[in-house]
Amino acid sequence: MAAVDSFQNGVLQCEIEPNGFDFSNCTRNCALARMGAAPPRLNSTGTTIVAVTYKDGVVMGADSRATAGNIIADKHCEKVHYITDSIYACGAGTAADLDQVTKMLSSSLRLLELNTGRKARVITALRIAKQHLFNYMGYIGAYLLIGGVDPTGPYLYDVSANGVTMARPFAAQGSGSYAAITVLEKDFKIGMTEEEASNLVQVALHAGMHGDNASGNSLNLVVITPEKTIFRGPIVPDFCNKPEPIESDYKFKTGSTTVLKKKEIKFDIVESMDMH
Amino acid sequence: MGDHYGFSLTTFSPSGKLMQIEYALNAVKNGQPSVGLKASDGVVLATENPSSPLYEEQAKIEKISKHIGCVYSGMGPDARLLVKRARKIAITYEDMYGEEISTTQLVTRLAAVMQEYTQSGGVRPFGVSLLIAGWDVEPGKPLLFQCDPSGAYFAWKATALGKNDTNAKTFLEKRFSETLELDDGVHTSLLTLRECFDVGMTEDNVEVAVCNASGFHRLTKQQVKDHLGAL
Amino acid sequence: MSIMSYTGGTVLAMAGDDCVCIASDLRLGEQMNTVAVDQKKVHKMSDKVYVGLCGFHSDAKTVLDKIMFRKNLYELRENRSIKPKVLATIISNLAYQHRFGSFFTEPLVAGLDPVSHKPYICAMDTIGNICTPEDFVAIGTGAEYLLGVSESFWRKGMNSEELFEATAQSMLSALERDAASGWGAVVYTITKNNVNIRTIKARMD
Repeated sequence: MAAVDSFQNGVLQCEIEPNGFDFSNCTRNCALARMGAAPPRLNSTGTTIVAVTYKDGVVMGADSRATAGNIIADKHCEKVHYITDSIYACGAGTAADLDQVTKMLSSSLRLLELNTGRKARVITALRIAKQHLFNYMGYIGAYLLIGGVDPTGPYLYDVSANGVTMARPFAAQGSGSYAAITVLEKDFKIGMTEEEASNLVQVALHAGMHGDNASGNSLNLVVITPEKTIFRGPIVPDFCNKPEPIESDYKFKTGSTTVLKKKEIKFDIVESMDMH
Repeated sequence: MGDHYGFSLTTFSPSGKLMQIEYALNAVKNGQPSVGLKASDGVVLATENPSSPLYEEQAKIEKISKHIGCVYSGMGPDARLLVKRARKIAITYEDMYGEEISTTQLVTRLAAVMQEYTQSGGVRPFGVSLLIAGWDVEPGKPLLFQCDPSGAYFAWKATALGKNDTNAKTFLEKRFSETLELDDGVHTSLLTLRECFDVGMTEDNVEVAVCNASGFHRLTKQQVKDHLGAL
Repeated sequence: MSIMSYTGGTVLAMAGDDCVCIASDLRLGEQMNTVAVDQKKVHKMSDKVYVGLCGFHSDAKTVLDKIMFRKNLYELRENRSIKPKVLATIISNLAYQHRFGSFFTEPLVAGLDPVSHKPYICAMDTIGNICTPEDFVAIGTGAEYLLGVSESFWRKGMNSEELFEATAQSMLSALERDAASGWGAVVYTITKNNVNIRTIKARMD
């Protein structure tokens, strides 16, 4: 049996293994840190993410700003992540961690769907996420809202980076969640219609984008019902529009920049090497 | 002593053959027939999947990724293991490169798995040949491959596996045309499959799948019935 | 002091109409000392795909080797030239593999899709969070200044000459205020027919 396993892995040996972290730089990085070198700034989603369950399904939404310190690193960062056709996850925390964790979730669940021939359940997504995050003891900075509809109904879960999870009727996460949760606490009702729910999510997101520096730019929504999933966005609220100047003409005439040296690479026309 | 070369898989016979691989091909030859055919705008896979009122049906044509699927002739359990591996290969590739695996890549990697089972200790080769159908989104064209227990793979325009495959291939040589469209392709595949059938074809003992720009889909019983009615 | 500004350097990429520009300064330093004045931070990956690497120079070199290895392996296996988006995914995965002991370098990818000629630009943080805006991306010690000035200079639908001027002028503006970058700049303009490499006149202090 061990022999079979080892050569099964052998087939993909020259593949660069996508799983598993490489800690080879750690000693050096720790030494540098002891010498007083500040660690590099990572992109954070900052974020307001909001999700609400209603009568038949789930509405989830997020702003689209990613920050590195006080710099807006990305104006249109996608924080509503596709997991399967009927499960989505919104993420707050370290941007790279979120990208990778949701990618891992999506591929495990799609693989599960193919191998079982059934729709994956939301609780399965939650389990995979929490086991992964718990394993890394909170060092993977991913705070997720996982929501979706499966044959047993609509679900919404809240997952923290340390692996703590909660089932909720409504939830908000991220640095803008304090503003957003006030709106939800006040206006959430059990058994809302789809329109009420999606309006509530938008109002809550607006609150977050107003009150939190690290949230803003635009918002994305996803509405998941037993029949279909509708993605809406990016929606730019009025207060997020850049005031366009009447006259903004920074056109440079050709030749404005002094060129000292010029080299041109022309492409060789090659016959297609395509082997099909 | 003379004919004992078949016992150890990793030993060549004096004539340069690996007998176990030849035997694996026999397992394929005795398997239920499958047909694959490349139309101008997609690929068709069709196979016999005998039914009984007593047992639950189990699909023989399986989806691997959005635009790739496969069918087998030979031993079902072996095929299911390979399908599982193929899906894993496809999804790992997607994670690594951010786009769906091309059919050629999947076939190459899956063939490498099959080859390892001809050269390692303690294992036997797979008792299946696979027909892998795919649609490459870029540049948008259909592909059909056959993957053998030896790890050899071939690109086909149309081919057949399993029982009576020689008859079926002769039939295809006469009937195949590169200008066929998908619907006619299904028709021709079913006619070819009929060449290998001992019993009448019904929607209960035939399985059909197509693969085109919109992805890999198994036809429903009703769709199969309609196609059979038009034969 | 952050290790990210130890050797200095800045890269900027802008997307236009069927063309992209990628510019880098030429300085290599050791903190406030300048030790080389011909250090391009832009590297050719294939005909129409270029990568910029900023941050700690020795890590940038190591990462460049690793990227080249993966890119070559991909092109040999698949027998086709790499798409910028695929390259970006590879680099992102590579960076994330070192999540808990990262390389001190921020990668940037700019290029045209070899088949559709669609422009692609993206920048990453040190652990591989890709951001792909439609307009411009900047990395390195001058990124903060570049983001501001490019916001004004970038317009939708620029042709390759307009794009070159906008990129070059943004770069020159940033070099005015970034002490860790400078000593000239080089601008690569990638179009579907050719790549123009222009060394532009900049302040040399």
